[in-house]
Amino acid sequence: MPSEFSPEQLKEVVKRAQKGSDQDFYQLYVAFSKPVYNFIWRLIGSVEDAEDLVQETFLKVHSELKNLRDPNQFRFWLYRIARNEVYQKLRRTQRATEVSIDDEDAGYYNFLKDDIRQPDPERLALSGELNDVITRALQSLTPKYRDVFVLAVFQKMSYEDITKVVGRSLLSVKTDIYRARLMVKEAISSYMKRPRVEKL
Amino acid sequence: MNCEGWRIEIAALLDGSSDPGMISGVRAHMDACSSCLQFYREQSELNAVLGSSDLDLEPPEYLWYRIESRMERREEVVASQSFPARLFGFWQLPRLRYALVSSLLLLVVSWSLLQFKSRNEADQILLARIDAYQMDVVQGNPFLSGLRKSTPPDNPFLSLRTATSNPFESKGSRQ
Repeated sequence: MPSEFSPEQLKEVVKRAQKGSDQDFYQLYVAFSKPVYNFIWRLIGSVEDAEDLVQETFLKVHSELKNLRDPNQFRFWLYRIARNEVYQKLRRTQRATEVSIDDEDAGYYNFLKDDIRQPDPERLALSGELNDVITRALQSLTPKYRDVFVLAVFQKMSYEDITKVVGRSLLSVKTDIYRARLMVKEAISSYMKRPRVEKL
Repeated sequence: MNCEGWRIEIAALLDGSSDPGMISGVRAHMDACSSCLQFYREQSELNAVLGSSDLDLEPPEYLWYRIESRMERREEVVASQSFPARLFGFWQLPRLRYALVSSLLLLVVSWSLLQFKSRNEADQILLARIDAYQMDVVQGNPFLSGLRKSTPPDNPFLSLRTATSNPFESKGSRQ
């Protein structure tokens, strides 16, 4: 959770935003936009798409916030909306490119890799080679593994909390994170083996 | 537990989500199993690489202005809508629309089934009432009750008919 809010403070801010306070909604944006932006970016692998999806996520949060029954669940609810937005975007892209979605494990969104292999000057300039390597490794995972891995490793979310976001059992989440760890380690092993160059 | 089970627990330990009761068991297993200890080291290194600071991106500042302007535009659209349009605004939501249509269909089907069932029951009751009425009529009428209880009286015409043979019928049957 962002350091700006304690759980009690967050609950109060959410309650006030539910009543229509734009200022409190802005506070929620300030607190959560960065983690949500990075979560989406890690899932989709494109800065431009991440911006659009963060926008859609917060617009949906704004319109649906009244319907959130338990303000304590705000964080999980927010990530769930962000995740759904990513999945919808991926499905739309998939439909547009007319790629079969029958076999998820055979590379559900692998067509995206071609875009990711193309040099992205903005991303390279922002975070250097390592980020590019990590992005490629993440995009090689199926969405099922990718979202739990990103939530656990990059968002530092506990496994219990991840179950609330992805709606799967704790055992399933644990196993998927373990398998994702093996795949990511394999994908970036060449980078890990060689002497690392300090980041820009 | 096999090594894969222990490694799942090691991954959970590295992510800070290990069950507190499992930690000592995980450590004891790593002391005894060199391959699981190797897995722990590799994954720790992976954590170090992935957890490097400044790998996160900052959302651009203009993003909030884009969100804000779309929120304002949406509020303007809602405000400009007429009262009936706002009243039936839910119809614009596809999920709600489908849910409403399916609920209505379900209601119509259930209502038809109930009607059919109750009509059958009403028919049965009516038939039972007719039977009971007929029984009452029969029992209350000495002539009718006598007809039911006794054998019908001999019909002289009938007996005549059976007694005499019909020449035409017999001819026809022979042919």
